[in-house]
Amino acid sequence: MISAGIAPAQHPYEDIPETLRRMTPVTDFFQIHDALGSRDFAMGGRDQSMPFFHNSLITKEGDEHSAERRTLGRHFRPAFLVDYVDPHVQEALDLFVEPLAAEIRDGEPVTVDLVNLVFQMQTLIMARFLGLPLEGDVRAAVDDLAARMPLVNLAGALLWSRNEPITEIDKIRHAVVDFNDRYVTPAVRRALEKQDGEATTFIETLVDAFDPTTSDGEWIAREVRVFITAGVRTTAHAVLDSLPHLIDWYRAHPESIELALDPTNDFLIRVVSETLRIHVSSPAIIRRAVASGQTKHGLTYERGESFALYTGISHLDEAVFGPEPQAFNPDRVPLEGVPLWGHAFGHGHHACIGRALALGRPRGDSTTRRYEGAAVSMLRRLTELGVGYVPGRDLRYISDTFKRMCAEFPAYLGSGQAAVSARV
Amino acid sequence: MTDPIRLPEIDGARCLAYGQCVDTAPDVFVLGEDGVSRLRSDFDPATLHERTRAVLEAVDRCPTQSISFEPS
Repeated sequence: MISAGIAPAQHPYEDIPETLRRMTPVTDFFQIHDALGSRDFAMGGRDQSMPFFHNSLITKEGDEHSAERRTLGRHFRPAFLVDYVDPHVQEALDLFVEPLAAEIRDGEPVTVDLVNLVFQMQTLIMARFLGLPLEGDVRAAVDDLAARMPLVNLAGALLWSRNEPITEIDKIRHAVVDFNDRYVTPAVRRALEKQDGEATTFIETLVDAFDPTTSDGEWIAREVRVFITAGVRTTAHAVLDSLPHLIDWYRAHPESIELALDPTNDFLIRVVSETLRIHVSSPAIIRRAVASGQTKHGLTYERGESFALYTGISHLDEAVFGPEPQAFNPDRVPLEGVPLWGHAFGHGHHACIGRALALGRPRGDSTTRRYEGAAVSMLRRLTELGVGYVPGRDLRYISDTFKRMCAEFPAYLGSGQAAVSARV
Repeated sequence: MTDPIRLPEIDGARCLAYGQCVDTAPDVFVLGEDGVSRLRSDFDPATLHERTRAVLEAVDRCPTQSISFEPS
């Protein structure tokens, strides 16, 4: 059945997994919005990743999903983010960026690989947020954890992997066992031994919520993997995808540097949002109809039908996002009610619970405190330090999955202004 | 005599802090420290008619259907 937009033979991507080719494609922004917002659609198409994420928040539905979302939601409330997450963001900046800032003050600009720097910071933030142990020298412990993360992360992106699946899944399985042994099991043991006080880490909350009558023994480990995969990989690439746009934007609009440095201005939130609109984290969001019907915007569906919702296409709809939708423009004004990030954080009951971790929460009117988000904090500090390209040294990208990911980003810090030449 | 202004109502027990109301109508809704959506303290009910469409959109988008609103 053709429900929307394009015929099956005209998939928006040439190089797409066979699994997706068998699904009904949807490219219309509002039909995608309908599907994401409707309880007639459940998460679907994650068979490849199911052994690693089975029965975690992203796969649950109905009351069970709502109950767990309410339990975990406390970690994303404004006060919690200010009290327990912002210190981790500051620790990451202090540990990894401030030594570079000190070098700049001593003289010449310093050259740094931003991929390594951003992944180190985001790995530390998520490890602290989750409550994973980082024993001994913290920098070394972060590097050790970060080195183990690519294969663990791949468990969530198996559907998009370009590599041979049987050997791939075997490698991931070993990496996951190692990750559990080194990080999750000790953290769970520590949480079980904690006698009193409120849960301040994600694992402590999961341990408190563990119900032996409904939860299986692997549940906490799977939930931790979901959140570290989403939290590290997605946020780090949001920052890394933002930076080339941002550096180019500063060059064309030097007055915007002041906006970026002003913590009361939402410029950097718009930068990350616009980046996420253009650089979707996966080619499609997968949904499975659990009933038959038709949505408000005309998407017809039959029970059991699987849909590939191509946000990479719908995010380029000029009627929704305005002129030149392929171009990066943080001043873009979408249609009323449409967020600048489109469906980058999903929509409806499975909307990304962790959005505030990266982008912050607007200040509640009962408080003057504000958590501004890991991605925004990193981009502001890098702007303060005059991030710019290193002339003659290109950025390098890899395509192990269907998302083109930055693998090397040589950059100057301390170049005086965010600008300059060569990049691919 | 004019009809009283009917404000949007939020069922705090149902709200799961998705924040989609804040995205849709930031001048009307805010997430409190407890994560539950509420009307902004600086929201002027006299301006509600200008925001009717956005509030209805927020009602429509709320994943937990925690907001009710009937325009006057």
